[in-house]
Formats: sequence, C-alpha cells, structure tokens
Amino acid sequence: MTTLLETSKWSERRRRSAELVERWAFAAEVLGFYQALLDTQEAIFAETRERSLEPSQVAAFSAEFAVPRVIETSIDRGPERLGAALLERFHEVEVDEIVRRWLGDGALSAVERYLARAATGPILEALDQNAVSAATEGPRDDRHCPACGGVPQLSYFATSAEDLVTAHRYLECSRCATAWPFTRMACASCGEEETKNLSVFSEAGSLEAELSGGIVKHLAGAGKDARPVAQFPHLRVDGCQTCKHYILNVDLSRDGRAVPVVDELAALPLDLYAKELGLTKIAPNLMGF
Amino acid sequence: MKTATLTGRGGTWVAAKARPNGSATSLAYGVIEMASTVSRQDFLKLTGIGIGALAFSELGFDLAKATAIKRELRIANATESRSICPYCAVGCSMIAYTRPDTNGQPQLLQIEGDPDSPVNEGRLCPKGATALQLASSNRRVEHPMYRAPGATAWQQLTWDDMLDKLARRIKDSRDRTFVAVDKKGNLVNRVDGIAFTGGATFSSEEGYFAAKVMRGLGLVYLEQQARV
Ligand code: SF4
Ligand SMILES: [Zn+2]
Ligand SMILES: [Zn+2]
Repeated sequence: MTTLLETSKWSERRRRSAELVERWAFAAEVLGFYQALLDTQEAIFAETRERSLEPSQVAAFSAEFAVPRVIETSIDRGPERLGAALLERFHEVEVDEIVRRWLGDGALSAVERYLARAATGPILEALDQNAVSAATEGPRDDRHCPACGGVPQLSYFATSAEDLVTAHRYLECSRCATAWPFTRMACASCGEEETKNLSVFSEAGSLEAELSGGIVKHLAGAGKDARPVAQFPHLRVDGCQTCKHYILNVDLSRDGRAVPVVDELAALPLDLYAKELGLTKIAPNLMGF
Repeated sequence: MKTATLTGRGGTWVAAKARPNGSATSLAYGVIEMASTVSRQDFLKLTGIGIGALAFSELGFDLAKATAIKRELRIANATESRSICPYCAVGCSMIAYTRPDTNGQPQLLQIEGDPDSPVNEGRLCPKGATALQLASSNRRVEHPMYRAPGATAWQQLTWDDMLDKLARRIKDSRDRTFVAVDKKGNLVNRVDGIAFTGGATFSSEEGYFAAKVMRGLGLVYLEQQARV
C-alpha cells in the first residue's frame, strides 16, 4: 500500500511537470531538466528501498550511488554552467563530505547544495521517519520538519472534501519532503503572527471576488468578461516584513491538479518578483531559485 | 564585443558586454544607447543591472522569459485579517483578505473560514460563506423601494417618504390593534397587530435599541436571530 502510494508520487511529479511545460513556456528549461532528473531520482529512491539502508550509511550511499547518477543526468540535460561546475566539483572535493554537510547544518555553495539535494533527497524520501530523524540534524519545532529538522521549501493549502471548508495549511520540507500542518497566518521562517507584517502578494484576479466575477461593488474590471485573469491563480508569495523572508504558497483548492513541489519549482516569475521586493526565500529550491 | 538588444516597455535598447573600469575579470552589461522615454532606474530594472539580477540564474538557467512574465504581473499586497462571522451565535472564525483598490483604499475581496479556529476548523455555513456580500455586494439595494398593494413593479422612494410611510402604518396598526385590558380584565397595554424581527447582521447596540423602541410601543411579538 505504502509502496504504491510512494511510487505514484514520482509519476505525479512527472505528470505535473509535463502539464506545466505546456502551460508555462518560461519554465520549460527548468522543468525539462527536472523531468530528466525525476527519472534519476526515482531510480535512487527505488534502490534505497531495495537496500534497507541504515541511517549511518546515507551519506556514503548517496556519494557512491546517487551522486554519480545525478552528475551524469545534470551534465547531460542540465544547463551548461551547472554541468561545467559539477565536472570540476566532482574532482575537487570529497562528495561524501558535501552530503554530510547537507544532512547536517553546514553551509554549501549553490552547486554543492544542488548536488547533495538532488542525490540525497530521494534517499530520505525512501526512508521511514525514524531513519530520516537519525540521519539528519536540525531543530524540531513547528517551523522545522518533524522528521529531519529541515526548513520548509513551500507552503500549501490542502484541498477539502467540502466547498465550504477551508483546509489546513501545510509546510513541506526542503530536505525530505515531509509535510506538516502549520498556522495559516504566521511566518514560516520567524513565526511572526502580526498580520500587518505578513504580506501576501497575490496576483490581481486570484481572489474570490475577482474569480467569481463582479460580486463586489466598484471592483475594477468587474463583470465576467472584463475581470482580470491571473496567470497564477493558485500561487502567492507569503512575505514577512519582520525577517524579510518569503515562501511560495500553493493553493490546492484553486488548482487540484497542482503538485506543490513542481509548481513551486516552476513559479520563476514570482521568485523574481519577490527578489525585487528585497525578500529572500526561506530555502532555495532544488533548481536554486 | 558581444551586443544584445532588449525590448521592453517604452523602447528598445542596445546593451553590450564590456569590461567596465578596466577590470579584466568581471563582466557586466554596459549601456551603449538608451531610449529617452525611460528613466535610468527603469532601464536598470529592465536589464536587471541595478538589483543584481542576472540574465542567467546561479545554476545557469536562462531567466529571460520568466523576467518578461514577471514584468507583466499585476501583483498587489493583500492583507489577511481574522474576523468573526456576524450572522449567528456559533461565532465562526474567518479570514478576510483585503487589497488596496486603485485609490489605495482597502477593498475586501475574499472571506473564508479560518482552519486554525477551534470553533469552526475552517468551516462556514452557506450563510457565513456569503459574508463577503454583506460588506460589498454590488447587488445591495441602496434606496428604499416600495411596492404598492397590488402593484407589480417596485418604485424608489426617498428615505423621508419611506419613514413617513412606516410611521403612518405603525401608528395606524397600533391604534387599530392596541389592547389595553385583556379578556380577564388585566391591564396589559399591548399591541397584537405588529410583530418585529431583527436580522442577523444587527449589532448588539442596534438590537438593544430596537427592543426598547418596540417594547415601548407595546409589541410583544419580538424575535431576533440569535447572534454573537
Ligand atoms: S452564520 Fe454560519 S458561518 Fe456564521 S457564525 Fe453562524 S454557523 Fe458560523
Ligand atoms: Zn524533512
Ligand atoms: Zn518572518
């Protein structure tokens, strides 16, 4: 049962990537590469399951098995700059050590982080929560992953079974992809709860009144035909003026076909927008945005 | 020297890869020509020079298309606030989203149940779910409307006319149906011919006031939808 569910996770990511490549030309390069990487990651995931790995073996297994495969795919299908950097890096530094630092709290360069994460992420995803816990370092509080102590990559609103129920918000881990419930109106980085310091940057056309068209008086462009059309009706930037961090939020009730981790990767214009506002993402995603 | 042409709002520019300040190591985009309609700041934004954004990301992804889309985005800072549904005594918790309109005034654009509330856990009844329209429906009737007995059409009245009409009817009905002494001879001073119902969006003060006025007239059939 679990295996079935877990396997479909990869096909879901693949399905969504294919959908978004069609829809968002600006994300074609990132998603095209991600699609290639997904095959490699699924193979790593499957191999981890085969081997029933001990937590202490994660770094070594990643360095020996996963990293070379990720490097190969990245040189083959990734952007030129990444490929060139990986070739160098592979000869230069002890890969095992990079992975260990990624599992711990150490600082890594963008390329190192990419390599460690692309290779080791699927390994953590394949392990059970106890093993993940034993293999990783990090604080365990509501703003960190309960399994590995990592910081959240993204936030999402779940779908609910009924129309009139607003579902919980969840954070999804940047390291092991575990999701955990989190307060709707709080900063996922510093915990700020004062809503005047929490900015929600959403596109015109993405709120209820605009989506339903013209219920609200004096709404600019109200009326079915004239209403503003959002390109990202299910995505928003949750920013915090207190710590100057942001996280992208995926509203699954707005787009039930969305797969948060994929949509987050593809939402480049929103990342560029947030950067322009002087906000930094809590954790850069797999592709470094 | 490698040159590139950039087209954006307000004009076209030619940028060229050059080595500024004689530095041999750092490459930057230098401006050769700039359309006069656009300020330098705009230009820097467009080309990403000023804010350190690059045409390629750290890992080497081409950001040109995403940057173009970003420029078109119409994004505004929405504010979330917690509120309580005014409609009934359950007191469901709500999240209200406001966004400044073109005049900078906050405009209420979305209300939904608060999933973190132990009262309703994100749920709203159909009535509470329409609370947005209480505040800002464009179907709100903004003038007193009157439909005469037997008439098929509504007619717009002024507030003065309407208040006169109401006062007249209340007075007439009260005079006609006033009971000073009941059948058993008890002094009751009550009005049997008028009933009063308070709506759910009444505030406590309005409800208090209405009850005082109606009891003062002698009404006994007073009903009020229970509320917070
Ligand atoms: S009217 Fe409905 S939504 Fe409002 S408080 Fe009562 S039950 Fe809750
Ligand atoms: Zn985790
Ligand atoms: Zn914060």
